[in-house]
Amino acid sequence: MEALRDVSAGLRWYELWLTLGWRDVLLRHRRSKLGPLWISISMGFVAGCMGTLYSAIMQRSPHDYIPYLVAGFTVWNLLSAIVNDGKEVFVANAAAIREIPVPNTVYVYRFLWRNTLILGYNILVYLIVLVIFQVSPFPALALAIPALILILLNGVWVGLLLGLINVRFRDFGHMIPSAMRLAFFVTPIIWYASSVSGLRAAFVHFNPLYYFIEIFRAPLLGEAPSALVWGVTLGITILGWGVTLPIYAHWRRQIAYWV
Amino acid sequence: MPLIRLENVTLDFPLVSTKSRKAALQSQSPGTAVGGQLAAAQSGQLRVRALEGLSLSLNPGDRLALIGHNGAGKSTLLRVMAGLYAPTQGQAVVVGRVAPLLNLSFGLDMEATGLDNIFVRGLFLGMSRAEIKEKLNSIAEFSELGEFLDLPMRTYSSGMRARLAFAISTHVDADILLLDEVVATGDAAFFRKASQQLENVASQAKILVLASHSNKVLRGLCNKAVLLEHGRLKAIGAVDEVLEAYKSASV
Repeated sequence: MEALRDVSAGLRWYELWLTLGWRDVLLRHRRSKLGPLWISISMGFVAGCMGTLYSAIMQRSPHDYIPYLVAGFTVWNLLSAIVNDGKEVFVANAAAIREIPVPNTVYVYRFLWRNTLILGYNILVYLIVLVIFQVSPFPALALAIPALILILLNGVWVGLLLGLINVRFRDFGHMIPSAMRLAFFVTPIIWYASSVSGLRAAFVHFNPLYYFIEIFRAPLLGEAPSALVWGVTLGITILGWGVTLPIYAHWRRQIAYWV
Repeated sequence: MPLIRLENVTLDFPLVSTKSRKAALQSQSPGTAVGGQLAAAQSGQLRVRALEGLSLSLNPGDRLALIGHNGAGKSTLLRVMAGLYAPTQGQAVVVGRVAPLLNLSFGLDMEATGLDNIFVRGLFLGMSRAEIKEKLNSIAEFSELGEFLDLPMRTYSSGMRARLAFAISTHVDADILLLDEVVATGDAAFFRKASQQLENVASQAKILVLASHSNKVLRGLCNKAVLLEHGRLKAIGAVDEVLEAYKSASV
């Protein structure tokens, strides 16, 4: 119950975390003229360079491959940021946690909002790609909204759980980025799920990240995600919250001592 | 009605790093002048006992001075009152809106302007944007920073930063104001102004708790004092009496 109260109390501090999240994005590009547009530019390079090279390697037409790559990469950027920033959520806010009594979930909403804004800059490139390759993702595109909400809903428990583990066991934080780097290559983002079969298909079927990529990428490409994808992601959402809430409720008071 | 009631509060800091555990055990010597008490918990993990069996009750209008050596537990006690640290044993009841000013540099972004910082720090203290806008003039005036408010904070001196941080924290409609060694940073003019503001705060039936090593600050602002030693409450009473007790204990 106390954990849930933290979750809702944090929402009431929206003016604080909206401000902090937006400042985070601007701060990263301080003194640069283009500012956060650099996020879009680097995604543009991915589309242009990786898109043309890998479409040849994968033997796909750039017309199909580049929208697929940009959509997948955009979703991946969000997912990997949720995991990588999520584990830092308490460590990165140590100064605030020691000085100011605001609900800990404020810091979770801060990093989720920051990464939603970054997603927005990546989506700009996706929109340009749609125009160039004349892809029309309607009407399935509307499903991108519930997909995003579901991903962010998972972001809350991921932040609370990984943040809590990392604040106590710092080695955990060093392990995650390398695990995520590996996950990028074994998850169908630059390659297609349909191109592996047999035992290797385990990297698709037993990879939770695949389902979270697919739930958002499919609508971006004008396809409806399958019932299996919705089922697995919903299941993970329920499981994740179910595991996190009691753990967070038990240890939340220790966070101030551990940071 | 604001209220602070501590009942038999004991607070242990866990030392989670194994390196510091070993180092701390080796350096353990009874009767050190500073710091809390080191002790191994039942699990074998080393703990620092920062507060022990502390009971205290504050009512509206109380302006409490916290007196003690470095590491006596003053800042920890302030953090318990702020609700940042939950006591290991005992109970801490705090009723009312708390505005802590424990670390002058917290939440201040050196690259951002003073004005910008008023908003960030104000939001952290629980003010809304509208509320901050409404009080902006009054905060700016109190800080006496004038045109400096439009400059990045890195151009400020530490005294100027203190002025700004103090101005923001005392403009929150808080019931309880917690200050950790901050008023001493400013110059004489600021000290007078700060005292007046704190008198104001206290006269509105609010609670003020102040930790400081400056007797002048404590005598000028507080009407009650406690002496902490190794996390235990050694004396409580009028400011002059407790300062006297502290002096005779130190000699």
